[in-house]
Amino acid sequence: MNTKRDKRPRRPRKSVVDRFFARGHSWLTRADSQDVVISSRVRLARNLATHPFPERCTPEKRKEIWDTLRTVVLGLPELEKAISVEMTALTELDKLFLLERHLISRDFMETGEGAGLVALHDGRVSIMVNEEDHVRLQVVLPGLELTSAWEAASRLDDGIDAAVGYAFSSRLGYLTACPSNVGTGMRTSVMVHLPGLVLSQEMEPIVRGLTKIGLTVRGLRGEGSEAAGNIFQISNQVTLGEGEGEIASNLSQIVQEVVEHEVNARMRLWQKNPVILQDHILRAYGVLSHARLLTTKEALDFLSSLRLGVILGILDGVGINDLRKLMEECQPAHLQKAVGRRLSSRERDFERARLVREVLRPEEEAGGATPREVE
Amino acid sequence: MLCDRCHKNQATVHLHQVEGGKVKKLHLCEGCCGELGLDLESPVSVADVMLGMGISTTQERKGGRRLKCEWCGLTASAFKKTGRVGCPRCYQTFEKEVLQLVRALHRHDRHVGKVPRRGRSGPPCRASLRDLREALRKAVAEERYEEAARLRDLINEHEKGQASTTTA
Repeated sequence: MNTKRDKRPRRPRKSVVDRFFARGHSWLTRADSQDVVISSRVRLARNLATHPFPERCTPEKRKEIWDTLRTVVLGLPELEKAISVEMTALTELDKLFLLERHLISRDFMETGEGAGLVALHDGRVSIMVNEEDHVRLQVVLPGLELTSAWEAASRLDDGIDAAVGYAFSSRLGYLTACPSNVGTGMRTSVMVHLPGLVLSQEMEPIVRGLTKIGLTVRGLRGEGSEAAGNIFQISNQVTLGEGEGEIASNLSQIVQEVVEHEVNARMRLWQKNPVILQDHILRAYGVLSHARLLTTKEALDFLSSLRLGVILGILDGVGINDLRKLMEECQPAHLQKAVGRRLSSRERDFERARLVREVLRPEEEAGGATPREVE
Repeated sequence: MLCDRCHKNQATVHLHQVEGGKVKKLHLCEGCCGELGLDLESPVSVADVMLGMGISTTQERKGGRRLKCEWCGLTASAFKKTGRVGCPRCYQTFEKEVLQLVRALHRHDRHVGKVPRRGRSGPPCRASLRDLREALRKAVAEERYEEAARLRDLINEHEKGQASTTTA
């Protein structure tokens, strides 16, 4: 957790607003630095051959499984330095924080005894024990790196299997609590930022197309969540009848096409209606740099616009990484962790707005322009 | 509109399922929904629909057999309700229903991906044996005899394991 906000590098003091149109279309030629793809994730669902699936286990059995798997996983050379924690030992706020970090699922927050998490500090590898399945192994890498993520996950997977022995059938592959995961037990997903497609209202046909070929498109927080900040997760649905490498490379190819669509959409927006695009981005800047109350969705949506502005060269003075970090830090549990106590919804909105202003206009916030408290 | 299942009562529940880009429609009366175990208060899943229909045909054919997994105790109706099984053995107990659901979900019914390198436990599997034999053939052809000997031992071990599980 970053508590040393004062060590944040100071941004140049010139107003961000003055710098639009400064650059041409340089971003168009750098297809790899479009920052469309945020991260790639591979998740494997596995179960021990020796026990019923978690839902049909007694708490004692689950505890036993957790102890075994915890020892095995922490014994893997890659995970020597991982943290391990049982869910019952955590506060609601801690769990929410882990959820926001994509290290656990919403269902996992509700689980009882014997459910635990082993994860690396940087979040690249995390293993949920006794979620729907005994093992939910996840590897997340920045950018479009599905194949590497699969390879890394598979190595860890071998290590665990060698020690415990997974439930596997030659016909149906890895056996899982839900038949929707049977086979490879693998869900690959890519997190993408698609403001161009959303702005030009092209998202719907894309989602329809992706659904048609067996892929799922979800919001930031996975299953059932709405798309805040124009961030989407594209993932495979089918886990049987295709090899893992094939699943990973298929999804990569499709994501590359989506990236191309996104880049084209941005280009069209820029060429056809630069003023509308400017207006959209600078309005977002206006709200973010002055608002006193911001909801999570509002903050994420406007930050998404700023991100687009920075990529297009319309905005200057704030870095992509600052924005990426803000998008994470402005979420409810992150905010409360930073402040060090529970906050009401209104207090969170206030803190969020303050945090965002601090990053976007550090001088104003540090100097005399502090707001008079009105409550 | 009459119920698709009993063809007697008025259909009041209309389910739409998208499969392969086509929308399948299913119209049911409340009575049939109850019998199929569809909980109208909760969102209906594909599993509910597919299994509900599947199990109804099983019941018609076999006079309503009552299935229960011997290992974990999961009943057919509990499986039907959640679409989830309770243990690895449920895949055998409810094989027919599971395969029906699996085909509906994946449009495949055979795994072609990774096969675990067997650790100390778990039943040996045919696919890995096939892989081992293939590797052995390759090793012999390429005159890597040390590797071939190792593979031969592994295959023997697996075959022994398989024999003991089939007699058990």
